[in-house]
Amino acid sequence: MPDRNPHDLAEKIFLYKMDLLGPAERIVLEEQIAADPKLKEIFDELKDTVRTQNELDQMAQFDPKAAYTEALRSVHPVSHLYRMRYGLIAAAVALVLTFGILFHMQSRWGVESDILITQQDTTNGVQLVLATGETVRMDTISALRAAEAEFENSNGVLSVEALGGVLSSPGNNKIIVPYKKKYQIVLADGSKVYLNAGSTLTFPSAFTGKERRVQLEGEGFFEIASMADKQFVVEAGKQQIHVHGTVFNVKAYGDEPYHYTTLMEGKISLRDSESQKELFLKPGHQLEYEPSTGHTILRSVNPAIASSWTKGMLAFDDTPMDEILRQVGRWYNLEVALTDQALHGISATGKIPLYPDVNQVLRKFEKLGDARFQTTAQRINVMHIKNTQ
Amino acid sequence: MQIDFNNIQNEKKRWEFIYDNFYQSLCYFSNTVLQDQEKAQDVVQSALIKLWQDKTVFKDVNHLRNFLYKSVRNATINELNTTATHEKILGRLADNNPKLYEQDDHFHSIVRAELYRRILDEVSNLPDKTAEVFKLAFLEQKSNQEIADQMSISINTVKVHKNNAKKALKHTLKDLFPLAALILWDTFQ
Repeated sequence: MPDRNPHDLAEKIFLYKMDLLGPAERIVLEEQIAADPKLKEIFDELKDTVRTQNELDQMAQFDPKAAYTEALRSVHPVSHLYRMRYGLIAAAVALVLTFGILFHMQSRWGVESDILITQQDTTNGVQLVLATGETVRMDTISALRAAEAEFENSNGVLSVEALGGVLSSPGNNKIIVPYKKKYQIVLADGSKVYLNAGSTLTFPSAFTGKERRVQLEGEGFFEIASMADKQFVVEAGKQQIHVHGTVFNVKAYGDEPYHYTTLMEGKISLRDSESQKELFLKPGHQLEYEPSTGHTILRSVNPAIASSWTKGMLAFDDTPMDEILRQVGRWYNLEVALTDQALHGISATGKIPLYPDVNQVLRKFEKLGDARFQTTAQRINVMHIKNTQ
Repeated sequence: MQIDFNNIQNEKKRWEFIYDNFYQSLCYFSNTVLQDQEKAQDVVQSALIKLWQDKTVFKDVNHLRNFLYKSVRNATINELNTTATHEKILGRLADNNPKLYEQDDHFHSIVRAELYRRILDEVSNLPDKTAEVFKLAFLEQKSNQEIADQMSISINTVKVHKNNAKKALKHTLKDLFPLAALILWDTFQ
């Protein structure tokens, strides 16, 4: 009898793959798989390591402990307090009050409450501004024909296909990814760009000129389709990145003091629009650029750290703490404020998954080193951070 | 499932068990239909909270599992219909939106969810440190030196953990992922 209970069937496939299934059951399962193409698809999927790993990663991202705690709080809102002794409750209340007051006083007297990053209005979600001027919310469309192109939108990926016919000068479209979101776009030439929270990419409906040119503000991970006769150029602020079919990450937020371009594969060169200096990068190289001074530093890095955000991780290697906290602010759309704390010279090294709840991320920082944070619905207050290295 | 669900008397412990054993696969299942991790988590969380608040009684683990998937499936379809109606009103819904017509085919989605959850379980059965070394080496392709630095342990300890993981996983994963076996071999030399 073929199994119609999905759990038992999954268990049998698992045992089959581990060669732990009896001969009679093997035959029954093989027949069932042969008769059911969709089941065969699932079965064959396991041979694809990358795919399997992706699925496992996805599954592992759902955090049962955090969800349970949240549910417990919503089903039994007060039961936790009953367990505490009254004295403890009083002490806890006093503590909260003290911090609350201290904090309030500090911001009222303007004692160095330094704002690292502010919240953004994210109510419109990811938006596409067409060359025609029309603005479209990405969560409302699955397909669209406009601005001489066909846009297809599904599963967080926007694909652009130029419509036939010769376009003399196709207009520029713009995709705006707000804080808390990420989006992927497949351009008309097949190049892929993965956009991080708080980023904008300006791109034409078709690449008709001698070059393929896009503008980035924010952070993007690029996989550029190789075209020998048409160079790909990314404009990021004052920098121009010239590309010849390759994979690289550009972090160039307007509110960051340093911009980083990291090369994973292939070859790129960077040009500063002011000095016109050209620098060539090899795989594993990262160019740090300071827009305010025009200073550049070329170094060798682990490129996986620069692209970790595309895999839902926050990875950093001796990265300035303020830069890390601004990134956290963008991802969770929270203002980040320093109290009497200065972050000069504080950096951190590590890797943290982007948990659904920002508090889990901050707890990791607290575990990582000498740090303390306080959160509200809109804000992360940095109470204390010290360099431990 | 090792623990007998029926033996857990305490209501909170029961629900902790339910979250530990089903939350991930339910989210994964809902996400295969919705293709939106945040929405999937919201759908699963509200469905579970509702069952908890309603003090739903389950006969055994099979009954529990069927019930959970059924509730999450219904909540997911509701969510999908809300989105679809929204798109329809805007006149932008493609005529052949496969998501709407494949609603009956949740059987296979559940099989996938249960299967991947089973594999994940197997990986997480490794001891903590060994699992961490395994993850860094195998999933993130870190070198021994990088792992040693990150975990503040010696290179030799890294090698010991790798060997342990190799022994434990050889048996579990070899036949499951022929390619993984190769990568393991490569990484653990």
